[in-house]
Amino acid sequence: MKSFLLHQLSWNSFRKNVTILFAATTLLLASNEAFGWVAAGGGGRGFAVAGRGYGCAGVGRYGAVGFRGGLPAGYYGTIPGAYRAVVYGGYNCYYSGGVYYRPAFYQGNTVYIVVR
Amino acid sequence: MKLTHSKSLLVLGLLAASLLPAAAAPDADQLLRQMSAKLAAARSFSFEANRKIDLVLVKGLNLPENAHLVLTVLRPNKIAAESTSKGEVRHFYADGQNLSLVDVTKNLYATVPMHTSIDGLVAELDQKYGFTPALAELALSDIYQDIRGKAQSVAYLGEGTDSGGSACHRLALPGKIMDAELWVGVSDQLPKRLITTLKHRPGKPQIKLDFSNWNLAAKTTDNNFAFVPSKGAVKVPMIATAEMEAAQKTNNVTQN
Repeated sequence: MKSFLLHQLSWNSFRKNVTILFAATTLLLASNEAFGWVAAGGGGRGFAVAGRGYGCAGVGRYGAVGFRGGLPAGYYGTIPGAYRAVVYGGYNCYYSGGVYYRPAFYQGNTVYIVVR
Repeated sequence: MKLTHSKSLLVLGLLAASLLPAAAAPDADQLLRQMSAKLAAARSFSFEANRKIDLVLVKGLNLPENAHLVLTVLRPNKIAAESTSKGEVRHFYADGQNLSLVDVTKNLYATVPMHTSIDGLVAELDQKYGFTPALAELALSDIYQDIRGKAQSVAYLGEGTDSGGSACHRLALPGKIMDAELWVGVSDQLPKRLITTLKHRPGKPQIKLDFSNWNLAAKTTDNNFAFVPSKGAVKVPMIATAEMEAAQKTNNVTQN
């Protein structure tokens, strides 16, 4: 019985590790492929002529579509449509759904940082 | 079998044609050099472009599928751009001293010091802020070198007719992740179309640009590149790549 339990414990641990590895791989692929950074062209550079920036993010120097590297928690590429402009904490913000967002530019696009 | 006189002439003609050397395809590399030299020689120029990004690339990212871009350049250090898409207008100004980015729709702007030439601007923006202004590569002093640095080779694909009805040379510029096809006008050696294909993604999505209204003698003044905030405009920070990377280390990365 003890041996069986050890076996189960070991097997469960293995399955957990495999799940973590799989999740990590999926995240890595997602961040590289699904919405972001794609190294391109000779020397890791892409055809920047398609351009990104000032809100028309297309293919950037690295072939990025979207935000290269993704956005950290608390940063958003868009906010809910029903918002109003307010001043909060000394910043010009947008208020929507009980949340204050401070606008900023990142990689040439407007992003919104949660203030509270 | 008895051949008629006209048939004999036809056979002879075909034989003669087969013995003649086939017309050589234009030199793709040379065409690229000519295009680069022509743009490099223009001190003040402007052009427009319509860009279409395949839906699969913009889905869920709040990016415009179609955009109209206008670029104005005054060498060596001034460049201005406008991007108009559905529900969004954005401007970009660099006057050799400062760089300003404007979200016209939301009346937001950011200004940062940028004492550099257009070549330096493209490199510095990319390095410090992680983006390059759309189409700015066409304003570089040596486009040929830039494109050749990215393309693994240059090949001639044949002729095509652009949306304006002009005959174009079609050049293949394969890259590691993306392949590009650049159309260069036969009569004016100017870029007419650029199609980039993300060849490793499912469905091989594309980004297409159609260039138009090239003016290589645009009448520009410093005012075209000077940014003046409109009434009520709100100044916002421009986040540097290093700052965001620090935030990414301390927070989970989201897909927003």
